[in-house]
Amino acid sequence: MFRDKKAQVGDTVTWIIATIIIIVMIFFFVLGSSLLSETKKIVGYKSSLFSNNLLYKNDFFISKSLYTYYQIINSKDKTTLMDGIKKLPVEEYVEQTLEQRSNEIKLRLG
Amino acid sequence: MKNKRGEEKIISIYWFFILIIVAGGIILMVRTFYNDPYDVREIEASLLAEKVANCIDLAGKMNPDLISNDGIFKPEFKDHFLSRCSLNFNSENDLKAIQYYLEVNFYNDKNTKTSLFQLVAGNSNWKSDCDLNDKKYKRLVVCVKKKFYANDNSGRIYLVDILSMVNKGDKNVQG
Repeated sequence: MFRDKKAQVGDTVTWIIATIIIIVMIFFFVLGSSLLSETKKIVGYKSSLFSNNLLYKNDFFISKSLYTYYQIINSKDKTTLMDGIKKLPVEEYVEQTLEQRSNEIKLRLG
Repeated sequence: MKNKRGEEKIISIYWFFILIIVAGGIILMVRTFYNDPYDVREIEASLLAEKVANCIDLAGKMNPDLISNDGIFKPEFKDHFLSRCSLNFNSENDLKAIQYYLEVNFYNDKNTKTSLFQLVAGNSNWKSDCDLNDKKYKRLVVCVKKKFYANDNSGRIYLVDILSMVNKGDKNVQG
């Protein structure tokens, strides 16, 4: 009888501790999700949440300026324009450098 | 035997209680995580700026509807800026103020201080908010500034400066 009671107490304590652990774990998960949940700002096009590759291959506005650059004939104007393009703010999430994009456009225009 | 049955009953009630706690926890987690909206205003403002850039500059040459061969900007384009660029700033709710603002300045490539021509559309009331700290004031407008070079048919080069602004704080930011 006494042994039975002891076993029952042991069982109950196990279940109580298990319940506390479950509740504490859930509390931390809820806390974590609330910390992660603050308004998510989307600034680039990512293929997945954990991907480092963004779909911006090149800067749209730099490309536009480079198309202008290759349409200018005057070499002096070209040099001034290239200096200006180099000073333009570049999009943060781009793969190609100015030189790479410039070469690509040059090839495309022939 | 009777005791065992009672014990089983208690355990099944306990399991039911745990199940409710776990399920409630999962529901709470999902609700907390997905309750906050996604702030897409920066992308929206960038897309707006890109759309305007495509309207002004057609593959390296400026739109002939905007500028004549003599390098004179056409006021008709300014008057019908939104329709010429296929833009519609009307809000879904008639009582709500316009949530967008666009400003395009054209500068001579050698003098970037004096604007030669300006295109303006939308609600300019929030323009001053662009200079405020967007991390501190999340609900304020999102401003995107873009610059590029374009040339006209006569080979004159212009620096085009676009300011694109999107408000829509109630839809993109919570709290």
